[in-house]
Amino acid sequence: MNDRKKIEWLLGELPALKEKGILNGESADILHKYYLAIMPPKTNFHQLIIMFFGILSAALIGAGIILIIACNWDDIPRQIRAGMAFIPLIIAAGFGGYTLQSGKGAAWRESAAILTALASSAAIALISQTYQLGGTLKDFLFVWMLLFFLLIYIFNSAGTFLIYAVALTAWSFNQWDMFGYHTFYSDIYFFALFIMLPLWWLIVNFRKAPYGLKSSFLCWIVTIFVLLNSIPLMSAGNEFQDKTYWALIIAVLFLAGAMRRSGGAGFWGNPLLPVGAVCITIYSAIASFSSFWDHSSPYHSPENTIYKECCIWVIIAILAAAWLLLLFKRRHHKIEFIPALLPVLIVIPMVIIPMAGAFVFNLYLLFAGISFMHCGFKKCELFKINAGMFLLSLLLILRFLDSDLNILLRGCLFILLGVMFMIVNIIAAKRFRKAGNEPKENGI
Amino acid sequence: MNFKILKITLFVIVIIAMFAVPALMISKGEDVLNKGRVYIFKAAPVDPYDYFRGRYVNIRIEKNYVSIPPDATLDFKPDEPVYAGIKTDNEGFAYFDSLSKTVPEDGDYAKVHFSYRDKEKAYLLIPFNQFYMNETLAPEAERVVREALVKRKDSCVIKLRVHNDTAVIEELLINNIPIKEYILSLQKSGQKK
Repeated sequence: MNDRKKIEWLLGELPALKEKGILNGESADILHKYYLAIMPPKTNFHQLIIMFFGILSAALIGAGIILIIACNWDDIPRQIRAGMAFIPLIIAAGFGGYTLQSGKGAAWRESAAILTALASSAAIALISQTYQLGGTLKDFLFVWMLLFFLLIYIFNSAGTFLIYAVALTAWSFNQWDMFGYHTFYSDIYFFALFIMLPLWWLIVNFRKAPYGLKSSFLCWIVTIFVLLNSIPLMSAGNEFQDKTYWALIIAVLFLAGAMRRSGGAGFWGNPLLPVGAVCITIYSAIASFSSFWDHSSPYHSPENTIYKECCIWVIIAILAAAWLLLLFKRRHHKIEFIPALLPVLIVIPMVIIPMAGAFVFNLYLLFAGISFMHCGFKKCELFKINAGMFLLSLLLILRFLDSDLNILLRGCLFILLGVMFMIVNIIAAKRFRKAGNEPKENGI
Repeated sequence: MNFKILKITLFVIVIIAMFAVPALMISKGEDVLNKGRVYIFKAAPVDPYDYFRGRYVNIRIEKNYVSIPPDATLDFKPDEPVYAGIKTDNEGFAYFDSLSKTVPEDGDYAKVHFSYRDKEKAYLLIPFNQFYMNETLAPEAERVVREALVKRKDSCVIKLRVHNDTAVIEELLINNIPIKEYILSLQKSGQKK
């Protein structure tokens, strides 16, 4: 439930509370006035559609300009071509200036920002083509991102942020040279800088309307691009760094998602939670195999060139995880501590005794499964019961796959698990109804 | 300061920067084309498409390495920017003859990236490897260049201008004729496939 729905519910309750004498008329009026004033505005779909088409038209115009320029008009003299490169930028500057000056709405702001960003890329590309200056896509994206990131702040533009996130991901994935050698370590500080540049804007937007449409859209972009950018970033490290980083990042994603959910974000407005949960499950399942722990010790590659850089990231991630855990402690969401344990359970065996890692993760999956089931039964939440059963089944299946049991036995196991799921659901639903508690469908 | 004025001021700064970068690129390009020394490199090709910059013939400089003694130690990381000194051999073709982290004191040089070492060769990642062409001529150019190099029918070389640490491809030459003119002459004489 978002803030608006909560307030609407409370306002709907006030007359009944007044009638029953729980609130006197004056208090009810004060509460009504107060909550009406802070209630977030209703999403205006008409405006949203206008904004969407505004963004689309700006993106299409920008892409069209890029393609026209890409044609390479080599019959036109060099100096004239160079001059032509500035035409889209002049138009975009005029459009942007007018938008800011006249204080236009979101559709204008988004369009102006996107058009200016794309016009800037067209100008650099045309000059580069005209003078055969060469250079790589990586260099081009680097300069372009530095040039247009401020547009995100100036126009408060989510569309430009999306372009920025795509450009940053393309830049990160271009960290492999033509022979497949990874070169990220030389640009690691620039990567950190590019992450920081739009951070303040993101924080401001999340604080302004944490569960609004824009925040939900930004949340999707952040989730997808954090995971995507982690791939090239961590392919540069040794196995210890890669595995530690992944454990930290997915635990942080999950905890941030759990925080958003406890604050009132709905499923579609909070991809962090399901993405984090799925990633943690996959990761734990992989870590329950003993082969995962081969060469995982940090002592295996002490000469790795990016060791120091990765340590910085690990420290940042640990601090972020600690901060989130602290917030959780205050809010008393005990069940969310289980996924948060993941990084600790990865690092400790790797540093002390990697051989025991697989055993630890088998125990972890078992503990998580039982805890979720227990919590589900306690709170009458079928989702948590099923999540717990899923984890236990996953553990069983993985260990059976690991063993030398014949195909018949494995088949029987799958049928048994399916029947068990069904029976537990039926029994739980009946019990909850008998006890007068309607089972809740979702619950994490 | 008014928030609106601050936004407009920032926007003006961004626009100035957006104009300044291409303007600097133009100045650099004009500088190299007017003052740079010409070097001729032997070439090797493929033909991709750059969504931002359009069609180009991707050319690999044949000698994309610096010869080094087998016992030499190299202190370069992959993708590290390095300065490669340029020399010309007896046949008039250019090649890279030295590598350093700092700007060489004499002679022409190009700013490239170190790639990897293979015995007596230090391979380089060379940034001037794309020759942009007209959308319609590029596929034909690619065919012509490939035939020239694979079948050794014609000579294919890159005319590069070098000034300070900037190098730009001035022309791609087939039998000493600029590639565009060469393709147009082929089309006129009916040799186009």
